[in-house]
Formats: sequence, C-alpha cells, structure tokens
Amino acid sequence: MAESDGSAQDTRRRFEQWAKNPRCAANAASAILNIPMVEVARAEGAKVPFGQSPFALARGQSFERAMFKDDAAVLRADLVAAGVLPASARGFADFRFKRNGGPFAKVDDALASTTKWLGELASGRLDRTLAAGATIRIPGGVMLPHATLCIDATAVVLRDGVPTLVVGEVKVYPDRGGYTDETQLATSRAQAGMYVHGLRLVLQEAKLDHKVAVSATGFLVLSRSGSNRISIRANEDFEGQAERARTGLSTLSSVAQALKLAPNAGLPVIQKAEVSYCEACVSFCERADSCRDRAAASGDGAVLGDEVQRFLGEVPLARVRQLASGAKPANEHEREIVRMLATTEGANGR
Amino acid sequence: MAAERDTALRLRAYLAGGPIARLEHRPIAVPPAKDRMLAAFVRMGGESSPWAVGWKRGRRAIEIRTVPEARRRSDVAVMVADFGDELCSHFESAEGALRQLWIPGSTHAEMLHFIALRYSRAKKADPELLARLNRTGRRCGQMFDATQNPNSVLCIDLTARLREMFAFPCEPVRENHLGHLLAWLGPDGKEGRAKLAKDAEVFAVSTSLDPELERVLAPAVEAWNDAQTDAARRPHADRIRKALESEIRRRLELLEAGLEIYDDAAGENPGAALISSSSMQELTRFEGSEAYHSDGGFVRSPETDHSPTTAAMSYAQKDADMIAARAALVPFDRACQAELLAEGNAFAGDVLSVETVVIGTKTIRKQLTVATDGALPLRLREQDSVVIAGDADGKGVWKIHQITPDPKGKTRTIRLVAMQANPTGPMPKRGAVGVVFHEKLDPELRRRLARMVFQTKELATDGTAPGAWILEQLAAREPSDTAPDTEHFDGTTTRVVQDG
Repeated sequence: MAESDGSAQDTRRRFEQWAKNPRCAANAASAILNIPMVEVARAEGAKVPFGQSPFALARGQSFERAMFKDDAAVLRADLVAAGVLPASARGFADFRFKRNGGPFAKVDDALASTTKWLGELASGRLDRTLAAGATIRIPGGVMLPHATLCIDATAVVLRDGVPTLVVGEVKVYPDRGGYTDETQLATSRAQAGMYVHGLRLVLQEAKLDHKVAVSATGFLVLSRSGSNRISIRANEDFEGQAERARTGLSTLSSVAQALKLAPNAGLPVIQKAEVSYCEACVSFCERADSCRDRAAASGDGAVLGDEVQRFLGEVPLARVRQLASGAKPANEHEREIVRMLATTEGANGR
Repeated sequence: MAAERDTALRLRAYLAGGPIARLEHRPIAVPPAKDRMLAAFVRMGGESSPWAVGWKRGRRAIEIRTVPEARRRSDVAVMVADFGDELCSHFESAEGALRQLWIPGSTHAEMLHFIALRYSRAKKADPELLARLNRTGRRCGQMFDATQNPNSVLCIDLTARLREMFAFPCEPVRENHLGHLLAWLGPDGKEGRAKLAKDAEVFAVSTSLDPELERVLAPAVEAWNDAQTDAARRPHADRIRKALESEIRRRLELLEAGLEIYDDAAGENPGAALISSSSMQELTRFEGSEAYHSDGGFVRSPETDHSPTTAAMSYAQKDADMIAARAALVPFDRACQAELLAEGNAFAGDVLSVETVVIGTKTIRKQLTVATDGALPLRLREQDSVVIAGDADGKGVWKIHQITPDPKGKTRTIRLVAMQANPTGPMPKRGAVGVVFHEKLDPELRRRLARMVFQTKELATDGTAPGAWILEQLAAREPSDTAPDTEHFDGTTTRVVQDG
C-alpha cells in the first residue's frame, strides 16, 4: 500500500503500467524512462484529473500506522491468529520512511538496514520476525534507471530449519470474502509476486539464498468494512505472480535495450513513440482519450473493446461497414466476419 | 461463441451508430412508481461507510441524509438507521405487491453489502438504535443478495440491467458508467451521442466522489473537526452538506431518468412474472426470519457460510436460481434462444421427418429427424433432454437419440424421440424450417441437491447413503456453532464475541 519513497514506489508502478499494455511503444518508453504518462498528457494540453482522494491517502496512512504501532502489536496478533506467525515469534524491524512513521529519511539508509537484517537472518538470528517497509534494490539493472522495491510487511518463519521470508501486501479496501473486488485482489497479488521475485534476486546476488528462503505463499492485509480493524488473508499463493514478474521484467529489459532509449531522453521520445490503444488504457493512462480518438479515426476495432479488436485484427471498421452492406469478402477472415454479422441480423439500433 | 455473439452485437451497434437491443423483451417486471424506491450513496475516499445517502420512495420528494465527518461512526450509524427505517418500511408495507429498490450501479450494491457486514450483527449501542441498525444491516444484506441473483428482482442495479438489455458501441469497460450508457440511449443532439457519452463520463455516478471535489471539501472537514462548539461547526457542516446533497441528488435524478428509459425500452417478457413470484416468496421467507431475529434468534453472518455444507447448499441453490431465471425467460425471447444457440446449448434445424416408432415391443413414441448446421457449436449429447423453443411449460420433452455428423462437417442430423406418448408441447410438422431445440432448463434437480446437502449430517449418521464416507468427513469438518468476530458499530475494540 503506502510505500516510502517516490522513486521506490515508481519501480513497481512502472512495471505494472507497462504490463497493462505491453504492445504500446509509448507506454514502454514511459515506464522505462520513468516519465509518468500524466506529464506527457499535460504537455499535450490534455485536461487530466488531478491526483488521488486526500481522504483515501490519509486513511491509508493512518491504517498502516495503527497496524505497525507498538512494534506492530496489532498486525502480529492477527498474523499469529491467522497461523502465519507462531505465537513465540518476537521482534520488529522497521525500515519505513519518516513520513510514514518509520526511522529512515533516505532510501540508501533503508536499503542498508534491510540488507543488514537479511544478513542477521542468514546467520540464524531470528530476533526480528516481522518487518515493515523492507527495502530492496533489484540487481542487474534490468530496468532503467533503477529498481527499488519497498515491501509493506514481511514475516519470518522457520521452515525445515531455514529462515523463510513470508511477503505481505497491505491494502486499505475492505475484505468482503468471496465478493472482494477481483481486480483489486489481482493487483495486490501481482504486487506481492513482484516482491517475492525481488527478494529471491537480492538473496541470490548476496549469496544468501541457501541460508534464507522466500515463501511462495504470503498474506494480504485488508480492512474490515466500516472499521479500522484488519483482516488477514493467509496462504495466498504468489508463485504465479512471482513468475509473471520474472518474465515481465526480463521482457521489459529486452524492450528497453531494443528501444535504445538514452536514460536522459525526455518527453518528446514518448510523444513520438507509436501508440496502441486497448481497453486497459482507460484504467491507467492519462493519454487514453487522445489515443482512443486516434484509434477511432483510423477505424481500429479497439474502440469497441479488446474482444472486437482481437476478432477483427487488421480489418478496419470501415471495411466491416462495407462487408455489412454487401461487399464481397476478399478472404476467409472477411467471410468469417460476414458470417458472424449474419448471426445477429435484424438487430436494430435505437 | 457467446463471446462471439457479444462481438457481433457490438459491431452491429457500431454500424447502427447507437445501442441495439440484446433482448426482445425486458426480462424483469417494473412495478408502478409507488412500489419503487430509489437510493444512492456517496462515501469519503478510503472509507466503506456512507458519507451521505439519498432515497426517493414512490412519487414522494427526494430525501437526503449527510454527516459532516464520515469517520465519526456514531453519526454515520444514525444516518444509516434513518435510511434503513425507510427501506424496511418500503418492503414491509408491500401488502402483496411487488416492491423494488433501484440503485445506480455496482458500487452502490457494494455499499449495501458494506452496511450488511457492518451492522447486521452489531452488538453494542443504545438498544433502540441497535435494533434499527441490525434490521437495516439484514435488509441491506438481502438487497445485496438480490443484486447477485438473476431469479430476484427485489433490488435492481440499473447499470447492469442496461448492459443486459442493450449492446453499446463502446468498450465493455466504459459500460460501468450509468451516465455514459444513458447518453448513448438518449437523443442524438447536435454533437452526436458518442461525444455526449464521453462528456457524461466526467461526472462520477459511483459512490466515490471526484478527488477534486474531495480536495475542496477537505479543509471544511478539517475545520469541522477542529471547531470546539456547535456554532463554530455549523458553517462547515453546511458547506459539506450542500456539496454532498448536490452529488446525491444528481445520482438519484440520473437513476430516475434511466429507470424511465429502461421501463419504456421494451415490453415485459411474460416469463418475468415467474421471477417476480419467486422474489415475493423470498420476501415472505425474509419476513419470517426477521420475526425470529427480533426474538433473539441466530443471525446468519454476511461474512461467511461457516460450514462446508452450508456453502455447498448455497452454491446449489444459487445454481438453481440461475437455471430458474433462464427457464422463465427463454421460451418467450428469441434473443435468449440465440444466446443458447451461440453457447451450443441449443440447435436450430429443418425437420426432415416426423414418424411414429415402436420402442421395444409396445412403447409407441413420436420421432423427429432434424438437419442442422454442422459448423455451429453443439454441447448437447445423445441422451440429453431438450424442449422446443417457445414451450413455456417445458412439458414436451424430447430425448436426443442419435447425432450423425455429415463426413464433410457441413450438416448434422439429429434424431429425437418424445419422452411422452402424447407430447404436450408444440409439435413441428415435416418440412418445418429453423425449429429451435434447447436444453431442458429444470432447476428442480439443483434444488433437490441443495436439500440433500442440507441433510448431510443426517445422511452421514445414517451411514446407508451412497458415498456416506464422504458425507462423514464433511460432517466432521463442521465447525462448532460459534459466531465469528463480531463488530460493534461504534468502533470499540472487542475482538471476538462467542454468542453460540
């Protein structure tokens, strides 16, 4: 949920931004260059909504602070109750930034302190079994300009005698059991999967991977409806999402190399890059409206949704109109379009 | 194939330059205005309780309740109880008429669920207020359940119903905005409906407010919190109230306009009466359980099924409801039948022959031979039961005796045998063209399954039922009869309440 440092948070957000529409070169360039699309949209004169709800931001911060208050007493009690931590587990490691109630002012300090904590775990010292804001940097420069992650909550348990990190993601939205918003849950799991992958990379590079393990399962911390109490969803499987992060980062790295973007390249590079509009753009990209207008002008089926776009492929909507008016299909694909339209013959507009 | 049908309808809408009907008839009954209540909520960012709620019962004026600070739980509770009184009264005074609650969209349904989660089992408050809140919570839970159940029309999510009724020439993701859909359904105007629909998206209709408005209100909320006296708080409270009232009013007016459009869109499917009838039965059951609750009876948790058997029973029951709703609507709506064809749960064909055959030594039955398009999907298999489209009673049941595909895959010949000696449903003649046969939609088997699951414990104890060992294991996993953590509406810290 609330992460401590702008650039650190951006890393995950940029990756997720790219993953929502990997076909769009402008989107890839924006993610790689760490230039938010909102800046590009503003530069192009678009009227874009201004920021997030101030109440939601305040609620997120107070929710997290209350949870980590008194050495995370509330979170620990619920993690024990949910079977994530044993009742005997003790100690709290706080790597959060000052603005979030933690001790650190700089990213590098939080990074160093987290690294030291991982070292302690590797040497068998398990006196801090719950951590807030653990900060890691993904090695290898897979993404420009850097890849820093802040993990909301991390529990440490002993499995087969090996200290094992259990990743937790904190969200302020309410847990409604089977009715909890699927998209929000998927996003939370994707974030947690990125942390699992990041921790594995960091431990591997520090050659600690045989002394400290990262669990494929973790937990989500949600709120309860209408209250400040927390709800733990234990045993969430993040393995698939960790794999998604691994392959996604690797692909993004290849894209970064293929695009040959200079780290200091500015807005014009993104503005000139090709765009590819899709349905997901509506939910995350501030340029979605202008890209949609362009797609509509070129007759791209994407303006009717991803399913229509997939079905039509390269066939523009103008050609569909001709086919519907009786034009002779030129190939098997066009014959399929005609056949499909025929199944809804007689449907009239209002 | 069903996705393909959606694609085709969306393309048709694009070609038509506006929405097109997905269904021939409106699938639900819309009672007269006096039996309708409209409601809308707004919430503060990050909160799951309402900041303001508005409603309109029948032809009465819109009523709106707001609180200056949505994080002050005692004030919110009083506001929610006021809404709950009105909602409960709306349904309790129905006197046999179908009554409905209409909401603008899914986030408002979520708010009903939030209220159910928060208040239906609250334990601590002034007894009079607590009773009202508990009742409100349970009623909101019932309303939320109704939005998830196609066989109930007690609570209508208008946006979802418009999506069900029309195909729009836009991306599915945009169809979650009521204003967008209504602009498409409205008059063309100078600028064209596409532009009007895009412009309509600027105004929030969900329970969330525009962050820019929240930014404007934030200082007033802060000042209200800081003020020491009622007089000092008043101007800030007024400012907040006016802004929230305007937001609620806009949502309710949009909802009312949308309801009129929906009501006028098409005639009612005759089968909708069956759905109304099962909704009324559900209402009667609810009133019965309310009497039990008011005597201190156990209240079902809106959060969990508690036990595997209850969960399994609910699943089977929901499945039955889905089938029942379909069974009610399909016979009267060719578009519903087209959906079944697209899914492969129906086939259309030309009747090649109608014969009388003898099965065994003396069983005499009618037999149909039908030629269908071999390229279309078919999920139905030999021995499956089907009925002829339009057979409202579903009594003329045919069994698929044989499916013979043409080696080239162009056609498929299907032989069907009547289940009864004298089939009571429609009887096609030889040479009839495009006769549609679809799966027999019978919810009774699922209902029976739900009842069986409910009796799991007894069956397991008896030990004679087939698969008794599985039932025994299930019964062993039943938790003790304890309630889960229970929330107090005033935010006190009691963690777990065992109430047996």
